[in-house]
Amino acid sequence: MMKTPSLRHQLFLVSLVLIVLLMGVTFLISGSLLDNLKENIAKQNSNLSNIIKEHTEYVLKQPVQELSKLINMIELDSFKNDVLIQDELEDILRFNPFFELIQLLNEDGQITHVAPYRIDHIGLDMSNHSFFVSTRHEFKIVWSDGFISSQTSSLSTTISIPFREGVLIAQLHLDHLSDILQTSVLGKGGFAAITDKKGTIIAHSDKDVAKKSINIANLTSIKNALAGNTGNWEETWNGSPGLASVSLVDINEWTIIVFQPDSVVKAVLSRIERTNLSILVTLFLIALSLQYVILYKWIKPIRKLEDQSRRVSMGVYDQKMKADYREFVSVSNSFNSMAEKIQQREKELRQSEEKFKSMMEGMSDGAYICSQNYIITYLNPAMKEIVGHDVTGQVCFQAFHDREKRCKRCSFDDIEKGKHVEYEMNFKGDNRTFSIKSSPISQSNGEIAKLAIFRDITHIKEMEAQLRQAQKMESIGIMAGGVAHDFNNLLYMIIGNTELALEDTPIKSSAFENLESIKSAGLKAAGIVKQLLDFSRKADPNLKVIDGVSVIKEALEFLRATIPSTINIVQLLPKDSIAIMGDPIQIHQVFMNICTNASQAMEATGGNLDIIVKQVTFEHHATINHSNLAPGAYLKVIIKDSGSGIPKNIKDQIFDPYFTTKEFGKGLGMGLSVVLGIIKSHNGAISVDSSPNDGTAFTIFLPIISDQPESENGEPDVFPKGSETILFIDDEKSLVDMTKKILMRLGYVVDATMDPIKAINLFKENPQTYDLVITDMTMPEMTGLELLEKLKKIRNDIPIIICTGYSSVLDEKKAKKLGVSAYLMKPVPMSKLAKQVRQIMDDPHPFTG
Amino acid sequence: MNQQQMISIIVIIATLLGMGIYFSVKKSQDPIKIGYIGTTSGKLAAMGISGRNGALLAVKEINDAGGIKKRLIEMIVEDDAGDPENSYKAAQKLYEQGIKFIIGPFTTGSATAVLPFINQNKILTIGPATAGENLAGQDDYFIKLYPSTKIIGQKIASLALDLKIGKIAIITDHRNKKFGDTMIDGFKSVYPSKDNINIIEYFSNKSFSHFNIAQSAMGTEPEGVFIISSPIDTALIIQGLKKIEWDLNIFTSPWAISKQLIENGGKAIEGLMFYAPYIADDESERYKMFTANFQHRFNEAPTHVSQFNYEAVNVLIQGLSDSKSHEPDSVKHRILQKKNFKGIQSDFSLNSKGDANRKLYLHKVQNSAFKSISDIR
Repeated sequence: MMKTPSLRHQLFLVSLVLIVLLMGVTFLISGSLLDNLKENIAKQNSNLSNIIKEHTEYVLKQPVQELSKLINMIELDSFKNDVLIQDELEDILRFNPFFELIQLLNEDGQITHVAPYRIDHIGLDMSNHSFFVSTRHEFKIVWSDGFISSQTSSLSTTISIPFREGVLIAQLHLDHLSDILQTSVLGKGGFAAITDKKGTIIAHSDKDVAKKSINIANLTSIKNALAGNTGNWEETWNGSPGLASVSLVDINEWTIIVFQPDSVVKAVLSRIERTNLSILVTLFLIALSLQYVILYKWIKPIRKLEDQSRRVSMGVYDQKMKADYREFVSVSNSFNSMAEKIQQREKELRQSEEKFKSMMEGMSDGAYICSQNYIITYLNPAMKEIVGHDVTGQVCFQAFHDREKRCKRCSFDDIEKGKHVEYEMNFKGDNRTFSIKSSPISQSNGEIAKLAIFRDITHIKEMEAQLRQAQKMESIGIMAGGVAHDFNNLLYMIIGNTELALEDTPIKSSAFENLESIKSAGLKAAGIVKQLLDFSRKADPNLKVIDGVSVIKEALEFLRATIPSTINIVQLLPKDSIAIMGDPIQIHQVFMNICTNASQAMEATGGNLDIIVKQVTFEHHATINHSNLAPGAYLKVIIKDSGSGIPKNIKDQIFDPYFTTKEFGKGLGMGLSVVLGIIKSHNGAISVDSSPNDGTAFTIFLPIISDQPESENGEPDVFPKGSETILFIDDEKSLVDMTKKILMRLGYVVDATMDPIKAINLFKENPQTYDLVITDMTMPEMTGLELLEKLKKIRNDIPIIICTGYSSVLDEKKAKKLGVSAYLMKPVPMSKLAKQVRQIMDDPHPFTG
Repeated sequence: MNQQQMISIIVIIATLLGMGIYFSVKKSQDPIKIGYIGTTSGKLAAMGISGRNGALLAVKEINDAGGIKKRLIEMIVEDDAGDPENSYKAAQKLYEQGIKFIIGPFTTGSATAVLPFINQNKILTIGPATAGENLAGQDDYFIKLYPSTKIIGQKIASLALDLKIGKIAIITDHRNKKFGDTMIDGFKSVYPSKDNINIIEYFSNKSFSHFNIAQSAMGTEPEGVFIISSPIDTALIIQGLKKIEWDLNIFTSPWAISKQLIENGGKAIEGLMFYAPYIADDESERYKMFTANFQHRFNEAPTHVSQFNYEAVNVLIQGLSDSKSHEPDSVKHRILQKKNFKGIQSDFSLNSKGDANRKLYLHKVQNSAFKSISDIR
């Protein structure tokens, strides 16, 4: 990816390039300056050399002038005698300190006069002296080379001036020449010097050097100067290259040399370059500062925009950008508009997100989102609770199923195709069942992710099981009804015929006993059928005064047949009856539910099931398991097993609906809830006392009433008789025959038929003939109620008894409401039939009265 | 040892090796410094400068030829102004600069002054023109290239005898007493009658009168005069002597032999005789070349002092070239071992004490010039 260029960097680079170019130009100029500088220095040296030359000439001309004056005077015979000449010489020497010695030589070269005066010098032959020879020969002023005076030890020279009669020779010291050079402005390593014609230094800017009589005739510049080529020359002095300017003193051809080493030139150049560099650096810094200032000013709005953009990105929208420059007005407006729109959009987005979040967070169903690479990107709290912890960021098949690979039937295959997938699932080691709905959702990056909703349907599953059980029970009830109808018909046949036979059999005969046994068995069988019907029948409590003890006994008898024989039922019941207001069927159900639980608790190991019933009295209000009991007598029933007991932590939950500790399919968790409901509807209370491994004991309190329960047994069989006419209808021929016989034995006139239509016709023919109609309820062509209706239309006051084996559509209450005189359940013992018929004959409308 | 450590060690060794090579090369390229104690100022400056220039010419020629094993020679010149005390200080100064070889000093007096110091500090010193006998015959660090003045004295004495000079006056400058005394001793050792030798010693200063000295000498009625003095003094004294007795045999020492003697002597110096360890009018190619080179470099003619200084430098260079180490003992050993050297005009040899043995040439001033003569006839 290309890096975005920085405006600042680019401006900096441009500045840098300009500065570098400037530097380059400056250094080029410096380079050209070097030549100019050298030229200038050469000119400067040359000037200096000329100045020194002029100064030297001026200095040297002085003694020449002095001596020339003297010579003029001599040649003009101005001196009257030799003494005056000597005096003049002495004066010249006195007033011109540069003179060391002045000699006047005659034409033979002999000293005639000398100052300072030395008598022994007078007459000395100097004819061999080179300057005497030269002067005489050339007849011009001759300057000697420099030499160290043997008399004065100072650096000296000799000037020889010829005149007509000889030569004037003056020795003058040259120390003062070096003084001329002291004023010269020279750089380090530079010097100015005067050499004689041999190239020996006779004066130097460094006086110590002058004393060394160094010969520099080997220098190029000196060689050239001595050859008459003055000017500037590249020169090397003491290993340092430089520039030498040489000139010749006109009067004696001595050489003036001014030497400047290149280092001076370079030093100047270096100084210029340093100055340039300083200026450049300063310029650079100024440029940088200006650039910074300009950049700051230019970039300020951009930086402000950047800053505000950042703040906008952080969610701070309450700001307006103000343009510092006209060029930024449009940008500012756009930015402000953008910020407002973003704010609005974010608000909407936040609302949407909050809505979504609250939906997701508030859902009781678990939900999670999984990316295409199986990474869980979101879990709502319910899902976290289902999983047990937050698995965001984990791989779904590892997090949910503890697998290393994706599930074989991964729903993602369908999700990616845009399909919705529904399935049920149990987590490993978890009894809960979940209904999962997976749907594809689009991610912001365009990928398809999966949204899975987990709904806990464990309860629904249980309800379904319960429903199925209820339906099964209902079916059993229906079946029981059907079976009971047929059973009761058969039992009616058995009992009725047995009773007919008993009538015909001597009492003390063995046949009589056998017939009694048959009758008794038939009655018991009828009782069982009745219990079966009661159990399967769904009905509101039918409270009535009952003997609680008897009801409990009956329940236990029935229970005995349903629980394993490894469980020993121990009963401790009062001998006397105890009246309570209750529905025997529901009381029966209470015992069934509690004892079934108990038997299941002892199923594996066996044990005792103790049933203790006794009477207790509360003097004051008593609270049993949140139920308030009024003072009074109560039937206390304790049902105790020797099972594993109820864990303490669930003891308070056992009466909750659907609470169960049993495996799926073994119970719905409704049993004790029903029990609590029944007991409460009987104004009683129930409590539980249990500890692990010590069994469980349920204690039930039911209020005792003072009324005596209705007695159903114990009275001897009586057969009241009559002579009235009875119309009997039943679709079972054997029953028609038997019942006809029984009724005829009781003295009645009986018209019996199997066909209800025929019966109607018979009745219609002579409605007043009949005193009573006894009809079956369930018949092929017409029910007993339809028959009743039709007969009542013919004769409204005709008493009708419905005698049925079982009817799901009619019970005793309903029958009474429909004008039925009596409702008899088969099998009807002969005595009961006789009593009921007689009773109706005597009081034809018992229900209405 | 891992690779990184190995590389580090190699780099360190290479660096040290490089530094060693650099410094050894740098050292080998440093110039060899030799000292020069001369008299370039004062009354003896004229000769002293000429001598120094001879040494400088020798150094220049050696350096132009590439130096000694590519190492150039740098000569550091110190001026003693003819004062022995200054010579001693100059020797100290050079020694402090680490210099182990010196050419000079100019005079016997100065050489005598520095001798203990150079021996003590083992500074090999080659005296080009120091003739003092006291400097000879010692196994020390001083090599004396100038022949003994004693021999010169003997030679002059022999010459005087040949000229049948029965009585002689010797004029000597006290400033160079050692020079003069040795020469006088040599003279005396040959001259048969000591009583006929009159020695006139004087102090050369501004007030001295050469005529008075001449008079003093002539007062002894000599048949010949032997002057041991500087050129100008010698010239002026001769003029003084000739004023008194024109036909006088006059002899002088090599000290006086210079252009100044001719220039200041006038016609009086004609016939002046002297012995010198060189040939003043040498016409040999070698000498001509030397003269030409000197003239080219200094725009003047060399003197015999130039010549001896030139030879002194070459003797030292020879020793340095032959010696493996540039230590004074080694160089001295090489020089003495070599023994025979080729001079500009004639070969010369050194004895085991480092004293030169040179041939002396008889000279006579004729037509204002020095002429070598085979004999007095």
